[in-house]
Amino acid sequence: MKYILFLSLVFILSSCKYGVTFSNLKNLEASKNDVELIATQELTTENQQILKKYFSGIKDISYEFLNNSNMQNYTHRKFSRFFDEAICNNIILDESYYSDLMRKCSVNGFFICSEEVKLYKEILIGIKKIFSEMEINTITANTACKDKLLNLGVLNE
Amino acid sequence: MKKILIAILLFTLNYAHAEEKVISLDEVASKVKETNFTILENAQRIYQAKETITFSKRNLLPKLNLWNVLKLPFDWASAIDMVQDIAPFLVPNNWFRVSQSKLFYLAQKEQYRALWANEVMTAKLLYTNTLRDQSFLKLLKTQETQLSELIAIVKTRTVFGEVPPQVLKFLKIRKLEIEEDIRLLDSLVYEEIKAMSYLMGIPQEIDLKLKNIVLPVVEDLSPISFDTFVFRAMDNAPELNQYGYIKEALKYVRKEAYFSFLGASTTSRGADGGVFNNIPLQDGLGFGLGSSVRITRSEGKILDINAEATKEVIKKNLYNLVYNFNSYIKNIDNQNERFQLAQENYETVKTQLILGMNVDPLEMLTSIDNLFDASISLENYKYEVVNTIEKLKRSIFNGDYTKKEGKLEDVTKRGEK
Repeated sequence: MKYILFLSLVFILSSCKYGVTFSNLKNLEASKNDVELIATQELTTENQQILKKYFSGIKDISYEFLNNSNMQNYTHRKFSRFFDEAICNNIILDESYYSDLMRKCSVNGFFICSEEVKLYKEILIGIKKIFSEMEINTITANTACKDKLLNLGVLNE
Repeated sequence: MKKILIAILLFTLNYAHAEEKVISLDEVASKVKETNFTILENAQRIYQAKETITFSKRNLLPKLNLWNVLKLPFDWASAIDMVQDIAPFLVPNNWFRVSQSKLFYLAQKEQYRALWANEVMTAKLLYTNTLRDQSFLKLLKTQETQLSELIAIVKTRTVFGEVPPQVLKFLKIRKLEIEEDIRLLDSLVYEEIKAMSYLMGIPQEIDLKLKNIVLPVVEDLSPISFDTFVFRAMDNAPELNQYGYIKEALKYVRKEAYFSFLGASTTSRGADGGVFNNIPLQDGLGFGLGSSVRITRSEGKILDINAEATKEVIKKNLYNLVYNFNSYIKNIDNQNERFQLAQENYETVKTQLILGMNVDPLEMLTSIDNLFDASISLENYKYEVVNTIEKLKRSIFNGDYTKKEGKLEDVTKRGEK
Protein backbone atom coordinates (compact mmCIF):
# COMPACT_ATOMS: atom_id res chain seq x y z
CA MET A 1 0.00 0.00 0.00
CA LYS A 2 2.84 2.31 0.98
CA TYR A 3 4.61 1.65 -2.32
CA ILE A 4 1.40 2.15 -4.35
CA LEU A 5 0.95 5.49 -2.61
CA PHE A 6 4.56 6.36 -3.24
CA LEU A 7 4.33 5.40 -6.93
CA SER A 8 1.14 7.50 -7.26
CA LEU A 9 3.00 10.38 -5.67
CA VAL A 10 5.89 9.97 -8.12
CA PHE A 11 3.41 9.88 -11.02
CA ILE A 12 1.62 13.03 -9.84
CA LEU A 13 4.92 14.82 -9.26
CA SER A 14 6.24 13.88 -12.71
CA SER A 15 3.01 15.10 -14.35
CA CYS A 16 3.43 18.43 -12.55
CA LYS A 17 6.98 18.57 -13.86
CA TYR A 18 5.77 18.23 -17.46
CA GLY A 19 3.13 20.83 -16.66
CA VAL A 20 5.90 23.33 -15.89
CA THR A 21 7.61 22.65 -19.22
CA PHE A 22 4.36 22.96 -21.18
CA SER A 23 3.44 26.16 -19.39
CA ASN A 24 6.91 27.50 -20.26
CA LEU A 25 6.16 26.60 -23.86
CA LYS A 26 2.95 28.61 -23.63
CA ASN A 27 4.85 31.55 -22.08
CA LEU A 28 7.06 31.72 -25.17
CA GLU A 29 4.16 33.39 -26.99
CA ALA A 30 4.49 36.53 -24.88
CA SER A 31 8.31 36.48 -25.09
CA LYS A 32 8.15 36.17 -28.88
CA ASN A 33 5.85 39.21 -29.10
CA ASP A 34 8.32 41.20 -26.95
CA VAL A 35 11.16 40.21 -29.30
CA GLU A 36 9.17 41.37 -32.33
CA LEU A 37 8.53 44.70 -30.62
CA ILE A 38 12.25 45.38 -30.08
CA ALA A 39 13.26 44.35 -33.59
CA THR A 40 13.11 48.00 -34.65
CA GLN A 41 14.67 49.43 -31.47
CA GLU A 42 18.21 50.03 -30.21
CA LEU A 43 19.95 46.99 -28.74
CA THR A 44 20.17 48.14 -25.13
CA THR A 45 21.08 45.84 -22.23
CA GLU A 46 17.36 45.63 -21.33
CA ASN A 47 16.49 44.60 -24.88
CA GLN A 48 19.25 42.02 -24.80
CA GLN A 49 17.59 40.57 -21.68
CA ILE A 50 14.33 40.30 -23.65
CA LEU A 51 16.14 38.45 -26.43
CA LYS A 52 17.78 36.19 -23.87
CA LYS A 53 14.43 35.33 -22.28
CA TYR A 54 12.91 34.18 -25.54
CA PHE A 55 15.90 32.40 -27.10
CA SER A 56 16.97 30.72 -23.83
CA GLY A 57 13.36 29.66 -23.31
CA ILE A 58 13.44 27.90 -26.68
CA LYS A 59 16.77 26.28 -25.77
CA ASP A 60 15.69 25.15 -22.27
CA ILE A 61 12.43 23.63 -23.50
CA SER A 62 14.26 21.85 -26.32
CA TYR A 63 16.78 20.48 -23.82
CA GLU A 64 13.97 19.22 -21.56
CA PHE A 65 12.22 17.45 -24.42
CA LEU A 66 15.36 15.99 -25.94
CA ASN A 67 16.66 14.63 -22.65
CA ASN A 68 13.49 13.17 -21.21
CA SER A 69 12.13 10.16 -23.07
CA ASN A 70 9.11 10.00 -20.75
CA MET A 71 8.23 13.56 -21.65
CA GLN A 72 8.65 12.71 -25.34
CA ASN A 73 6.24 9.78 -24.98
CA TYR A 74 3.81 12.01 -23.11
CA THR A 75 4.10 14.61 -25.90
CA HIS A 76 3.37 12.04 -28.59
CA ARG A 77 0.32 10.83 -26.65
CA LYS A 78 -1.02 14.33 -26.00
CA PHE A 79 0.25 15.87 -29.22
CA SER A 80 -3.01 17.40 -30.38
CA ARG A 81 -3.49 19.03 -26.97
CA PHE A 82 -0.29 21.06 -27.08
CA PHE A 83 0.76 21.29 -30.73
CA ASP A 84 -1.30 22.51 -33.62
CA GLU A 85 -0.70 24.56 -36.75
CA ALA A 86 -0.99 27.77 -34.72
CA ILE A 87 2.21 26.98 -32.82
CA CYS A 88 4.36 28.49 -35.58
CA ASN A 89 2.68 31.87 -35.40
CA ASN A 90 2.60 31.77 -31.65
CA ILE A 91 6.16 30.87 -30.75
CA ILE A 92 8.44 30.89 -33.78
CA LEU A 93 10.02 34.09 -35.08
CA ASP A 94 9.72 35.21 -38.65
CA GLU A 95 12.93 34.98 -40.69
CA SER A 96 12.87 38.72 -41.46
CA TYR A 97 12.77 39.62 -37.75
CA TYR A 98 15.50 37.11 -37.05
CA SER A 99 17.77 38.52 -39.79
CA ASP A 100 17.25 42.05 -38.42
CA LEU A 101 18.25 40.88 -34.96
CA MET A 102 21.36 39.14 -36.26
CA ARG A 103 22.43 42.37 -37.97
CA LYS A 104 21.96 44.33 -34.75
CA CYS A 105 23.93 41.76 -32.78
CA SER A 106 27.07 42.20 -34.92
CA VAL A 107 29.07 45.25 -33.80
CA ASN A 108 32.64 46.05 -34.98
CA GLY A 109 33.16 42.39 -35.88
CA PHE A 110 32.08 41.21 -32.41
CA PHE A 111 28.87 39.22 -31.79
CA ILE A 112 27.33 40.87 -28.73
CA CYS A 113 24.04 38.99 -28.19
CA SER A 114 23.62 35.69 -26.40
CA GLU A 115 24.83 32.59 -28.20
CA GLU A 116 21.29 31.19 -28.35
CA VAL A 117 20.37 33.98 -30.79
CA LYS A 118 23.13 32.91 -33.17
CA LEU A 119 22.15 29.24 -32.92
CA TYR A 120 18.35 29.68 -33.13
CA LYS A 121 18.02 27.74 -36.38
CA GLU A 122 20.19 24.89 -35.08
CA ILE A 123 18.07 24.65 -31.90
CA LEU A 124 14.87 24.41 -33.97
CA ILE A 125 16.44 21.73 -36.18
CA GLY A 126 17.43 19.85 -33.02
CA ILE A 127 13.93 19.88 -31.51
CA LYS A 128 12.35 18.95 -34.85
CA LYS A 129 14.00 15.54 -34.51
CA ILE A 130 11.68 14.41 -31.71
CA PHE A 131 8.54 14.77 -33.81
CA SER A 132 7.28 12.09 -36.18
CA GLU A 133 6.62 12.87 -39.83
CA MET A 134 2.90 12.83 -39.18
CA GLU A 135 3.27 15.32 -36.34
CA ILE A 136 5.42 17.61 -38.51
CA ASN A 137 2.75 17.41 -41.23
CA THR A 138 0.12 18.49 -38.69
CA ILE A 139 2.22 21.48 -37.64
CA THR A 140 3.01 22.48 -41.22
CA ALA A 141 -0.55 22.05 -42.49
CA ASN A 142 -0.69 25.83 -42.30
CA THR A 143 1.08 27.23 -45.40
CA ALA A 144 2.35 30.31 -43.58
CA CYS A 145 3.89 28.07 -40.93
CA LYS A 146 5.49 25.85 -43.55
CA ASP A 147 6.97 28.89 -45.34
CA LYS A 148 8.24 30.26 -42.04
CA LEU A 149 10.06 27.02 -41.23
CA LEU A 150 11.36 26.73 -44.80
CA ASN A 151 12.76 30.28 -44.68
CA LEU A 152 14.46 29.55 -41.38
CA GLY A 153 15.99 26.42 -42.90
CA VAL A 154 14.30 24.15 -40.34
CA LEU A 155 12.45 22.29 -43.12
CA ASN A 156 13.91 21.22 -46.42
CA GLU A 157 12.04 21.75 -49.71
CA MET B 1 78.34 4.33 -53.24
CA LYS B 2 76.81 7.38 -54.89
CA LYS B 3 73.30 6.06 -54.19
CA ILE B 4 74.15 5.49 -50.53
CA LEU B 5 75.47 9.04 -50.24
CA ILE B 6 72.27 10.43 -51.83
CA ALA B 7 70.16 8.30 -49.48
CA ILE B 8 72.09 9.58 -46.45
CA LEU B 9 71.73 13.15 -47.68
CA LEU B 10 67.98 12.73 -48.23
CA PHE B 11 67.60 11.12 -44.81
CA THR B 12 69.53 13.95 -43.15
CA LEU B 13 67.48 16.60 -44.96
CA ASN B 14 64.25 14.82 -44.10
CA TYR B 15 65.29 14.50 -40.46
CA ALA B 16 66.21 18.16 -40.29
CA HIS B 17 62.88 19.06 -41.90
CA ALA B 18 60.91 16.92 -39.43
CA GLU B 19 62.53 18.77 -36.51
CA GLU B 20 61.05 22.11 -37.56
CA LYS B 21 57.41 23.13 -37.28
CA VAL B 22 55.89 26.33 -38.59
CA ILE B 23 52.67 27.46 -36.93
CA SER B 24 50.30 30.37 -37.51
CA LEU B 25 48.17 32.26 -34.98
CA ASP B 26 45.01 30.77 -36.51
CA GLU B 27 46.25 27.26 -35.76
CA VAL B 28 46.97 27.94 -32.09
CA ALA B 29 43.39 27.40 -30.84
CA SER B 30 42.91 24.04 -32.55
CA LYS B 31 46.38 22.88 -31.49
CA VAL B 32 45.74 23.84 -27.85
CA LYS B 33 42.39 22.01 -27.95
CA GLU B 34 43.94 18.86 -29.36
CA THR B 35 47.18 18.54 -27.46
CA ASN B 36 47.36 20.87 -24.43
CA PHE B 37 48.14 18.71 -21.38
CA THR B 38 45.85 20.57 -18.93
CA ILE B 39 42.95 20.50 -21.39
CA LEU B 40 43.42 16.80 -22.11
CA GLU B 41 43.39 16.08 -18.37
CA ASN B 42 40.23 18.12 -17.89
CA ALA B 43 38.53 16.42 -20.83
CA GLN B 44 39.05 13.14 -18.95
CA ARG B 45 37.28 14.64 -15.93
CA ILE B 46 34.29 15.49 -18.13
CA TYR B 47 34.30 11.93 -19.41
CA GLN B 48 34.25 10.71 -15.79
CA ALA B 49 31.36 13.05 -14.96
CA LYS B 50 29.40 11.71 -17.92
CA GLU B 51 30.08 8.13 -16.89
CA THR B 52 28.90 8.97 -13.37
CA ILE B 53 25.47 9.78 -14.82
CA THR B 54 25.33 6.33 -16.43
CA PHE B 55 26.53 4.79 -13.17
CA SER B 56 23.87 6.60 -11.12
CA LYS B 57 21.15 5.55 -13.59
CA ARG B 58 22.25 1.90 -13.52
CA ASN B 59 22.43 2.04 -9.76
CA LEU B 60 18.65 2.33 -9.83
CA LEU B 61 18.44 -1.24 -11.18
CA PRO B 62 18.48 -4.30 -8.87
CA LYS B 63 21.88 -5.57 -7.83
CA LEU B 64 23.11 -8.75 -6.18
CA ASN B 65 24.71 -8.59 -2.75
CA LEU B 66 25.41 -12.21 -1.75
CA TRP B 67 26.02 -11.40 1.91
CA ASN B 68 22.60 -9.79 2.31
CA VAL B 69 20.96 -12.80 0.61
CA LEU B 70 22.78 -15.24 2.90
CA LYS B 71 21.59 -13.29 5.93
CA LEU B 72 17.94 -13.83 4.90
CA PRO B 73 17.32 -17.47 6.12
CA PHE B 74 18.53 -16.48 9.59
CA ASP B 75 16.90 -13.10 9.88
CA TRP B 76 13.73 -12.49 7.82
CA ALA B 77 13.55 -8.94 9.09
CA SER B 78 16.71 -8.19 7.14
CA ALA B 79 14.63 -8.50 3.93
CA ILE B 80 13.61 -4.87 4.37
CA ASP B 81 17.30 -3.91 4.28
CA MET B 82 17.50 -5.52 0.87
CA VAL B 83 15.32 -2.82 -0.74
CA GLN B 84 18.51 -0.95 -1.65
CA ASP B 85 19.65 -4.12 -3.50
CA ILE B 86 16.41 -5.44 -5.01
CA ALA B 87 14.59 -2.21 -5.75
CA PRO B 88 16.97 0.75 -5.41
CA PHE B 89 14.61 2.72 -7.67
CA LEU B 90 12.14 2.83 -4.76
CA VAL B 91 14.60 4.99 -2.83
CA PRO B 92 13.88 8.58 -4.02
CA ASN B 93 17.31 9.76 -2.95
CA ASN B 94 18.87 7.54 -5.60
CA TRP B 95 16.85 9.42 -8.23
CA PHE B 96 17.95 12.75 -6.78
CA ARG B 97 21.56 11.63 -7.11
CA VAL B 98 20.99 10.95 -10.84
CA SER B 99 19.64 14.48 -11.29
CA GLN B 100 22.58 15.87 -9.31
CA SER B 101 25.16 13.98 -11.35
CA LYS B 102 23.58 15.38 -14.56
CA LEU B 103 23.90 18.93 -13.19
CA PHE B 104 27.44 18.37 -11.95
CA TYR B 105 28.32 17.08 -15.41
CA LEU B 106 27.06 20.35 -16.90
CA ALA B 107 28.97 22.32 -14.22
CA GLN B 108 32.11 20.34 -15.07
CA LYS B 109 31.63 21.18 -18.74
CA GLU B 110 31.45 24.87 -17.84
CA GLN B 111 34.71 24.56 -15.88
CA TYR B 112 36.24 22.95 -18.93
CA ARG B 113 34.96 25.80 -21.12
CA ALA B 114 36.61 28.39 -18.84
CA LEU B 115 39.85 26.44 -18.67
CA TRP B 116 39.84 25.87 -22.42
CA ALA B 117 39.31 29.57 -23.12
CA ASN B 118 42.03 30.59 -20.66
CA GLU B 119 44.55 28.15 -22.14
CA VAL B 120 43.74 29.29 -25.70
CA MET B 121 44.08 32.93 -24.66
CA THR B 122 47.35 32.31 -22.82
CA ALA B 123 48.77 30.55 -25.89
CA LYS B 124 47.58 33.24 -28.29
CA LEU B 125 48.89 36.07 -26.10
CA LEU B 126 52.20 34.27 -25.75
CA TYR B 127 52.30 33.94 -29.53
CA THR B 128 51.79 37.67 -30.08
CA ASN B 129 54.18 38.57 -27.24
CA THR B 130 56.85 36.37 -28.81
CA LEU B 131 56.36 38.07 -32.18
CA ARG B 132 56.55 41.44 -30.40
CA ASP B 133 59.82 40.47 -28.70
CA GLN B 134 61.21 39.19 -32.02
CA SER B 135 60.30 42.56 -33.49
CA PHE B 136 62.03 44.35 -30.55
CA LEU B 137 65.09 42.21 -31.20
CA LYS B 138 65.21 43.42 -34.81
CA LEU B 139 64.93 47.02 -33.62
CA LEU B 140 67.74 46.47 -31.13
CA LYS B 141 69.93 45.06 -33.90
CA THR B 142 69.15 48.12 -36.02
CA GLN B 143 70.18 50.31 -33.11
CA GLU B 144 73.41 48.33 -32.79
CA THR B 145 74.17 48.85 -36.52
CA GLN B 146 73.49 52.59 -36.21
CA LEU B 147 75.81 52.79 -33.22
CA SER B 148 78.55 50.84 -35.06
CA GLU B 149 78.39 53.37 -37.90
CA LEU B 150 78.68 56.20 -35.39
CA ILE B 151 81.66 54.55 -33.65
CA ALA B 152 83.47 54.18 -37.04
CA ILE B 153 83.03 57.93 -37.74
CA VAL B 154 84.02 58.97 -34.21
CA LYS B 155 87.11 56.70 -34.36
CA THR B 156 88.38 58.61 -37.43
CA ARG B 157 87.64 61.95 -35.81
CA THR B 158 89.46 60.87 -32.63
CA VAL B 159 92.58 60.13 -34.73
CA PHE B 160 92.44 63.68 -36.05
CA GLY B 161 91.98 64.94 -32.51
CA GLU B 162 88.52 66.38 -33.22
CA VAL B 163 86.84 64.23 -30.56
CA PRO B 164 88.31 63.37 -27.16
CA PRO B 165 89.11 59.60 -26.71
CA GLN B 166 86.75 59.26 -23.73
CA VAL B 167 83.76 59.93 -26.05
CA LEU B 168 84.81 56.95 -28.19
CA LYS B 169 85.13 54.82 -25.08
CA PHE B 170 81.69 55.96 -23.92
CA LEU B 171 80.13 54.95 -27.26
CA LYS B 172 81.87 51.56 -27.12
CA ILE B 173 80.46 50.98 -23.62
CA ARG B 174 76.99 51.81 -24.94
CA LYS B 175 77.44 49.33 -27.79
CA LEU B 176 78.43 46.59 -25.33
CA GLU B 177 75.30 47.36 -23.30
CA ILE B 178 73.15 46.94 -26.43
CA GLU B 179 74.88 43.64 -27.23
CA GLU B 180 73.98 42.44 -23.74
CA ASP B 181 70.36 43.58 -24.26
CA ILE B 182 70.28 41.61 -27.53
CA ARG B 183 71.56 38.50 -25.74
CA LEU B 184 68.96 38.83 -22.99
CA LEU B 185 66.09 39.42 -25.42
CA ASP B 186 67.23 36.52 -27.59
CA SER B 187 67.11 34.23 -24.53
CA LEU B 188 63.64 35.52 -23.67
CA VAL B 189 62.35 34.77 -27.19
CA TYR B 190 63.88 31.29 -26.94
CA GLU B 191 62.11 30.68 -23.60
CA GLU B 192 58.82 32.00 -24.99
CA ILE B 193 58.97 29.64 -27.96
CA LYS B 194 59.67 26.70 -25.65
CA ALA B 195 56.71 27.74 -23.48
CA MET B 196 54.54 27.94 -26.63
CA SER B 197 55.56 24.39 -27.54
CA TYR B 198 54.55 23.21 -24.07
CA LEU B 199 51.17 24.96 -24.18
CA MET B 200 50.42 23.37 -27.52
CA GLY B 201 51.68 19.95 -26.49
CA ILE B 202 54.45 20.02 -29.11
CA PRO B 203 57.57 18.00 -28.10
CA GLN B 204 60.41 20.25 -26.92
CA GLU B 205 62.84 18.70 -29.48
CA ILE B 206 60.89 20.32 -32.32
CA ASP B 207 62.07 23.72 -33.46
CA LEU B 208 58.92 25.87 -33.50
CA LYS B 209 58.69 28.78 -35.93
CA LEU B 210 55.95 31.41 -35.71
CA LYS B 211 54.35 32.96 -38.79
CA ASN B 212 53.98 36.73 -38.69
CA ILE B 213 50.60 38.36 -38.16
CA VAL B 214 49.02 41.36 -39.83
CA LEU B 215 48.99 44.14 -37.25
CA PRO B 216 45.81 46.23 -37.08
CA VAL B 217 45.74 49.76 -38.44
CA VAL B 218 44.99 51.35 -35.06
CA GLU B 219 44.05 54.66 -36.71
CA ASP B 220 41.12 52.92 -38.46
CA LEU B 221 39.64 51.47 -35.25
CA SER B 222 36.73 53.16 -33.52
CA PRO B 223 36.20 53.42 -29.74
CA ILE B 224 34.02 50.83 -28.01
CA SER B 225 31.66 51.10 -25.04
CA PHE B 226 31.34 48.97 -21.90
CA ASP B 227 27.53 48.80 -22.19
CA THR B 228 27.71 47.07 -25.56
CA PHE B 229 29.88 44.25 -24.29
CA VAL B 230 28.74 43.69 -20.71
CA PHE B 231 25.62 41.69 -21.52
CA ARG B 232 27.43 39.06 -23.58
CA ALA B 233 30.33 38.95 -21.11
CA MET B 234 27.95 38.08 -18.28
CA ASP B 235 25.69 35.89 -20.32
CA ASN B 236 28.47 33.73 -21.67
CA ALA B 237 30.66 33.50 -18.58
CA PRO B 238 31.19 29.80 -17.79
CA GLU B 239 32.26 30.87 -14.30
CA LEU B 240 28.69 32.14 -13.67
CA ASN B 241 26.89 29.32 -15.51
CA GLN B 242 28.75 26.87 -13.31
CA TYR B 243 27.27 28.44 -10.16
CA GLY B 244 23.82 28.18 -11.76
CA TYR B 245 24.14 24.43 -12.25
CA ILE B 246 25.59 23.84 -8.78
CA LYS B 247 22.74 25.83 -7.24
CA GLU B 248 20.23 23.77 -9.19
CA ALA B 249 21.90 20.62 -7.85
CA LEU B 250 21.58 22.02 -4.33
CA LYS B 251 17.77 21.80 -4.61
CA TYR B 252 18.10 18.04 -4.93
CA VAL B 253 20.27 17.90 -1.80
CA ARG B 254 17.40 19.61 0.06
CA LYS B 255 14.98 17.03 -1.37
CA GLU B 256 17.38 14.31 -0.20
CA ALA B 257 17.03 15.67 3.33
CA TYR B 258 13.21 15.61 3.13
CA PHE B 259 13.06 12.09 1.68
CA SER B 260 15.71 10.65 3.99
CA PHE B 261 12.97 8.66 5.79
CA LEU B 262 12.92 6.39 2.71
CA GLY B 263 16.64 5.69 2.99
CA ALA B 264 19.87 7.48 2.15
CA SER B 265 21.64 7.09 -1.16
CA THR B 266 25.16 5.73 -1.33
CA THR B 267 25.57 6.75 -4.97
CA SER B 268 28.23 9.35 -5.67
CA ARG B 269 27.09 12.80 -6.79
CA GLY B 270 29.80 12.67 -9.39
CA ALA B 271 32.66 15.00 -10.23
CA ASP B 272 32.47 18.26 -8.25
CA GLY B 273 29.78 16.73 -6.00
CA GLY B 274 32.24 17.07 -3.12
CA VAL B 275 31.15 20.70 -2.70
CA PHE B 276 28.12 19.37 -0.81
CA ASN B 277 29.99 16.87 1.34
CA ASN B 278 29.82 19.24 4.30
CA ILE B 279 26.00 19.15 4.28
CA PRO B 280 24.96 16.56 6.92
CA LEU B 281 22.15 14.22 5.84
CA GLN B 282 20.55 11.70 8.18
CA ASP B 283 19.87 8.13 7.10
CA GLY B 284 16.22 8.21 8.19
CA LEU B 285 13.85 10.82 9.56
CA GLY B 286 15.32 12.47 12.62
CA PHE B 287 15.52 15.73 14.51
CA GLY B 288 18.47 16.79 12.38
CA LEU B 289 16.26 17.44 9.33
CA GLY B 290 15.71 21.12 10.17
CA SER B 291 19.45 21.74 10.48
CA SER B 292 20.16 19.93 7.21
CA VAL B 293 17.65 22.14 5.40
CA ARG B 294 19.04 25.32 6.99
CA ILE B 295 22.60 24.31 6.03
CA THR B 296 21.53 23.76 2.39
CA ARG B 297 19.95 27.23 2.42
CA SER B 298 23.17 28.70 3.80
CA GLU B 299 25.15 26.82 1.13
CA GLY B 300 22.86 28.47 -1.46
CA LYS B 301 23.70 31.88 0.00
CA ILE B 302 27.44 31.11 -0.25
CA LEU B 303 26.95 30.23 -3.93
CA ASP B 304 25.08 33.53 -4.46
CA ILE B 305 27.89 35.51 -2.78
CA ASN B 306 30.51 33.77 -4.93
CA ALA B 307 28.47 34.36 -8.10
CA GLU B 308 28.12 38.07 -7.20
CA ALA B 309 31.87 38.36 -6.60
CA THR B 310 32.58 36.65 -9.93
CA LYS B 311 30.22 39.09 -11.69
CA GLU B 312 32.11 42.04 -10.24
CA VAL B 313 35.47 40.55 -11.31
CA ILE B 314 34.16 40.10 -14.87
CA LYS B 315 32.88 43.68 -14.93
CA LYS B 316 36.16 45.01 -13.51
CA ASN B 317 38.18 43.22 -16.20
CA LEU B 318 35.83 44.39 -18.95
CA TYR B 319 35.95 48.02 -17.77
CA ASN B 320 39.78 47.89 -17.83
CA LEU B 321 39.86 46.30 -21.29
CA VAL B 322 37.46 48.83 -22.81
CA TYR B 323 39.33 51.72 -21.16
CA ASN B 324 42.72 50.49 -22.40
CA PHE B 325 41.44 49.84 -25.91
CA ASN B 326 39.99 53.34 -26.18
CA SER B 327 43.10 54.96 -24.70
CA TYR B 328 45.31 53.21 -27.31
CA ILE B 329 43.10 54.52 -30.10
CA LYS B 330 43.09 58.02 -28.63
CA ASN B 331 46.86 58.14 -28.24
CA ILE B 332 48.00 56.53 -31.49
CA ASP B 333 48.46 59.89 -33.26
CA ASN B 334 50.78 60.98 -30.44
CA GLN B 335 52.87 57.83 -30.92
CA ASN B 336 53.02 58.24 -34.71
CA GLU B 337 54.17 61.85 -34.33
CA ARG B 338 56.79 60.89 -31.76
CA PHE B 339 58.21 58.26 -34.13
CA GLN B 340 58.19 60.65 -37.10
CA LEU B 341 60.00 63.41 -35.17
CA ALA B 342 62.60 60.99 -33.81
CA GLN B 343 63.24 59.62 -37.31
CA GLU B 344 63.57 63.13 -38.84
CA ASN B 345 65.95 64.14 -36.07
CA TYR B 346 68.11 61.07 -36.58
CA GLU B 347 68.26 61.58 -40.37
CA THR B 348 69.22 65.28 -39.93
CA VAL B 349 72.04 64.59 -37.48
CA LYS B 350 73.30 61.67 -39.59
CA THR B 351 73.37 63.81 -42.77
CA GLN B 352 75.27 66.56 -40.92
CA LEU B 353 77.79 63.98 -39.71
CA ILE B 354 78.24 62.52 -43.22
CA LEU B 355 78.76 66.03 -44.62
CA GLY B 356 81.61 66.52 -42.14
CA MET B 357 79.86 69.13 -40.05
CA ASN B 358 80.92 69.45 -36.46
CA VAL B 359 78.23 67.36 -34.74
CA ASP B 360 78.56 66.30 -31.13
CA PRO B 361 78.72 62.44 -31.15
CA LEU B 362 76.71 62.41 -27.92
CA GLU B 363 73.95 64.33 -29.66
CA MET B 364 74.00 61.67 -32.37
CA LEU B 365 73.78 58.94 -29.69
CA THR B 366 70.77 60.69 -28.14
CA SER B 367 69.01 60.79 -31.52
CA ILE B 368 69.71 57.05 -32.05
CA ASP B 369 68.28 56.28 -28.57
CA ASN B 370 65.24 58.49 -29.19
CA LEU B 371 64.51 56.76 -32.48
CA PHE B 372 64.86 53.36 -30.81
CA ASP B 373 62.50 54.31 -27.94
CA ALA B 374 59.89 55.73 -30.32
CA SER B 375 60.05 52.64 -32.58
CA ILE B 376 59.69 50.27 -29.63
CA SER B 377 56.80 52.28 -28.23
CA LEU B 378 54.92 52.35 -31.55
CA GLU B 379 55.47 48.63 -32.15
CA ASN B 380 54.39 47.84 -28.60
CA TYR B 381 51.21 49.87 -29.11
CA LYS B 382 50.16 47.80 -32.08
CA TYR B 383 50.78 44.53 -30.29
CA GLU B 384 48.96 45.79 -27.19
CA VAL B 385 45.91 46.53 -29.35
CA VAL B 386 46.09 42.97 -30.73
CA ASN B 387 46.27 41.62 -27.17
CA THR B 388 43.38 43.78 -25.98
CA ILE B 389 41.19 42.62 -28.88
CA GLU B 390 42.10 39.04 -28.00
CA LYS B 391 41.19 39.56 -24.35
CA LEU B 392 37.88 41.16 -25.38
CA LYS B 393 37.10 38.15 -27.53
CA ARG B 394 37.82 35.89 -24.55
CA SER B 395 35.55 38.01 -22.32
CA ILE B 396 32.59 37.69 -24.66
CA PHE B 397 33.48 34.27 -26.11
CA ASN B 398 33.89 35.36 -29.72
CA GLY B 399 36.13 34.00 -32.48
CA ASP B 400 38.34 31.14 -31.32
CA TYR B 401 36.67 31.23 -27.90
CA THR B 402 33.21 30.42 -29.23
CA LYS B 403 32.35 27.33 -27.27
CA LYS B 404 28.75 26.47 -26.56
CA GLU B 405 27.39 26.22 -23.04
CA GLY B 406 26.42 22.66 -21.96
CA LYS B 407 22.67 22.62 -22.71
CA LEU B 408 23.11 24.57 -25.94
CA GLU B 409 25.82 22.19 -27.14
CA ASP B 410 23.58 19.22 -26.38
CA VAL B 411 20.58 20.62 -28.26
CA THR B 412 22.49 21.75 -31.35
CA LYS B 413 24.53 18.54 -31.52
CA ARG B 414 21.32 16.53 -31.83
CA GLY B 415 20.31 18.74 -34.72
CA GLU B 416 23.53 17.88 -36.54
CA LYS B 417 23.01 14.09 -36.22
